[in-house]
Amino acid sequence: MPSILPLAALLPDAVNRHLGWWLFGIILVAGVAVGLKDIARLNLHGLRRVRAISSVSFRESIRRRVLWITPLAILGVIVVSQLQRPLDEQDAVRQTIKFCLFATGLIVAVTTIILACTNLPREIENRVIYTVVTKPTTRLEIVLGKVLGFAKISLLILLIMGAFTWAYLGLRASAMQRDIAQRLQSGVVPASSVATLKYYQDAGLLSAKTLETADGLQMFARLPDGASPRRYFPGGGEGSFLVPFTVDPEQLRPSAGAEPGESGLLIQAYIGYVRTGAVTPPPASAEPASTAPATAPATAPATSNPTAAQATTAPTSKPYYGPFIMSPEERQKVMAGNRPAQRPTVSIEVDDANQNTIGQAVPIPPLKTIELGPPDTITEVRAIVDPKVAKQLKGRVYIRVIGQDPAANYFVDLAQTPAPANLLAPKLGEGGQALPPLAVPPLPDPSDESKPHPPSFQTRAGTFGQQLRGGPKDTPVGIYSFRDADIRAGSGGTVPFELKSGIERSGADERPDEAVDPTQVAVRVHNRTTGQTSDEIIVRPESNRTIFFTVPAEALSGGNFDVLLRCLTLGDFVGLQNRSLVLVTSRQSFAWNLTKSLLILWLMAILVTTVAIFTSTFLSWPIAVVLTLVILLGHWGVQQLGDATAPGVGAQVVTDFGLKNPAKAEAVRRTVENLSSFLNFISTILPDISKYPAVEDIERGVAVPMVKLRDAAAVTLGFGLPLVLLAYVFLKNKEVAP
Amino acid sequence: MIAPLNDHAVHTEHLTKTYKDFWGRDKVRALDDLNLTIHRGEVFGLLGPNGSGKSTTIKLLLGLIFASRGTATVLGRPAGDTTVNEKIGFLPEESYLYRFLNGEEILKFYGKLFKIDRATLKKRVPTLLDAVGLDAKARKRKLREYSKGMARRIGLAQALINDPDLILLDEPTTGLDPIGTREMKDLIVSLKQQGKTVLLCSHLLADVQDVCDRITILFRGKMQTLGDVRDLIQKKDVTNIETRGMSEQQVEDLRQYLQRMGVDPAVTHPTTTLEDLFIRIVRENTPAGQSSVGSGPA
Repeated sequence: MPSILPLAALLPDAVNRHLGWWLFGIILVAGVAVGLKDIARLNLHGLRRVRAISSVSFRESIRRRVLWITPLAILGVIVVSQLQRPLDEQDAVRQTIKFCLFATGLIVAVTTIILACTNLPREIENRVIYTVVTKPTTRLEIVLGKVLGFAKISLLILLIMGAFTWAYLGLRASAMQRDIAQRLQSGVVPASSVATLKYYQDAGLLSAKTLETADGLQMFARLPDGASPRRYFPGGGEGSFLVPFTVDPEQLRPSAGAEPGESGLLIQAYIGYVRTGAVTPPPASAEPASTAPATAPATAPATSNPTAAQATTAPTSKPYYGPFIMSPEERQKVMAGNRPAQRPTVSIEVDDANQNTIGQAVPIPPLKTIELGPPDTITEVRAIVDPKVAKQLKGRVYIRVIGQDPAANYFVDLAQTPAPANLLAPKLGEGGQALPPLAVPPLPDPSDESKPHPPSFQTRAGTFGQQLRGGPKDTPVGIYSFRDADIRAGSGGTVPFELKSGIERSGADERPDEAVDPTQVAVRVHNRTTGQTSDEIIVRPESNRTIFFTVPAEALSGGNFDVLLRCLTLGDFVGLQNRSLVLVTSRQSFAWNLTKSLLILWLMAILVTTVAIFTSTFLSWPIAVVLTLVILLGHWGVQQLGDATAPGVGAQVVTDFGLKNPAKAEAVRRTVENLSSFLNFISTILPDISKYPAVEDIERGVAVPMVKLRDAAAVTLGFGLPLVLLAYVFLKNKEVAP
Repeated sequence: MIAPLNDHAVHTEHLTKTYKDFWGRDKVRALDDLNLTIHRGEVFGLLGPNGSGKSTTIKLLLGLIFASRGTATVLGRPAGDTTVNEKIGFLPEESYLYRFLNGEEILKFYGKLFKIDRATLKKRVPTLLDAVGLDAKARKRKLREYSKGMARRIGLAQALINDPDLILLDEPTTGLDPIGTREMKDLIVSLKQQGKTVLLCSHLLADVQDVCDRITILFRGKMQTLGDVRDLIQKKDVTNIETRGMSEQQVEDLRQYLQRMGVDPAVTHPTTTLEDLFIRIVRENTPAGQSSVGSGPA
């Protein structure tokens, strides 16, 4: 954790960096020291007292008709699920799961907060506590008894809601599967949806899949030849490669006493190119296709011509370059200056850790462009990074090299130059004379530390992800690399894959008539172990919707393989992300997956209970409810503020308000920075409720990994235990007679 | 002679309680420098008007609140010590109990808080319910449906669930009818006979007078007097002679005799108490084998 508060800044770095753990340890030790005698009394008799107190809390809640909230929630879920407008059957099931679990989580959290926050203050107010604390009951046993009692209540609510969710979804899913079977049999299903519906029919709508994602996605202009070290990326501003660095600002200091990056930086890159024939220029206004359901809704009349529905999709948006980023065409024009470039050019950028542009590198004057040499050879090019940009570099940065000529494919040669881009920091001697620049070492390859990290190849980012341009030939190829994948063949000796992509299209007027067919993507699998490449499988993705296809298991044997995707439809761009293509490795029962989700919710309910009981030991119940919500949502809330709590926000506010008076500006800057630091500090010591992801996996039909249960248990234990001890210490020192 | 410390059921030295306001400033001194010793086996009365510090003393002895100054020991342990609670029974001023449990459930719950084995608890619960006069129908009803008198009785039962050595009764007869009051007083006497120590806190002086061995009177947080009940209330210069069956003539002869001796006697016929009259009438009209406590709410 960065130094955040004046107080925190005084702490040793080791404490500051792990403040949460230190607080946990201190509270634990202090709590044990204060309550050693009472902790020692937690023997069999002590546990019997805890159980007795918990039973009373449980019975009280039941007799106060707390469970009446469950039929209300069930009724709400049924009503809302009838009003939903799903894309297809799987979407209907997913939406229903979301409603059910959202309602479950909501009523558990609200019920627990209200019960636990009001219980202790009410017992003190109506003096029932007199007859409990005057028995041989320690205050620790009272706190533990209350926590256990409300944990039992929340478990009961979860069991009721879980049973309803399981039964209701089971009924809905089986009805929908019958409907799918009928539609498939009657042949009214559009061709693009047949594979997906068959998959639903075979795998069911409630299955919980285990998914395996690829190591990464690389976008090349040409399919890499196994024997060749060359890697091609497209020109025309469409393709680029990135080389990662970890920058220590000290490395960028030109001389002792100078600021890091004060003299700028030098970038060295090694690139070649080959001329291509006429290629389709990148779309001036690629536009995303609206989501078109593959299957007509059950109530809609079936159409025998699926293309009719596709033809009605209209472009809705234009590519977004951001306020300060030029379009590739404009950039090329500016970079070229007055003299048209004779040979293909590249542009070079410096990107931050999120691969957003920090600044542009410029050619060394008098050159106006970064122009390459003769074709088919590697050219060394150099560019300068402005000191303003260089001063911002810290931690992970990327050098991005972009090919600008639309009639060329660019390449790097990984054998000749394993690190195709270098970052050089100028150095000055004591007398100010120039010394040889210092090369910032490239990030090592994770699989072989002696080698530099290989470059990653990307295409231009569209609305959904990196764009895979479509066409009959000379189009880019997207490659997903899987390593040691767990291959489990299903029925028929095939392995299923999921693909979720976004389709963007050129303007309708540029689109040839024959291209109104659904977007087609050719899929092949190259097995790196056997060297074999499978036959082409044609899939028809739809925008922002998951489709399924299967691949023969033998093509994937060994688990080390690349999945190659190429868009065949001219004028279409398939947007891909790193997780757009996933391999389905196994399936679990829905009941078990639901149980895991409910367990996560229960762990959350236990945390809510401990927070609520802790606050109620020293506050009246309405204030305790508010503080409980603040504690539970504080971390999440600060995260939502995003950049507003980032370092430097004070200066940003001063700029935004246009404060001219230096004293006022400094006061505002410091106040905002301190407030931002305080919020950051608070968020580090508050529980992170995003560690209770009960809905997202099961909603996507993905098996909830056990690691999420473990993480949730760790948060509950890590915050619950100190809070129980604090509640005990507070209650021990509280006069319970009003 | 001062009794040895282990003979003290309760012992306080300079016990003081000052309530503070939100800012930590002294608001009111509820108890001021109380030095008190209650011996084992005696029935001790804590008397005083409202706000005199009686309840504050009890709360301090039970650890419900903490002393501002001074010390208090209960059965040889510091006040509020959890282990000593094994041997203490407490009936609060009103029956502050879980109102959604029934009579049996509440006794079982409180019983589980002590080191009482299941078999003993199973036997003790009905015995105690019988002892406090709650019939089978009443013990299955939720406490929220109890009359004030019934709630008092179940409160007393929970105070005795652990067969305590020291019983603290805060206004035990509040809400009880005369029969209940009498039963409560009889119970206190019987507890004394079993060797228990009883600390009785009340402002109903007649009740205290009937059962207490010693009393103290508190006023405005300070102890005003302490001593044996008989010593404190006896009129040592007045003599009562009681006899039955004297004729008017014999009474007149006796009066003249005493006058000759220089004494001017007041001769009256004594009256019974309303309590005795009430109890006699109710008992005469209660069918055999039935409780005098109503099963319906008050």
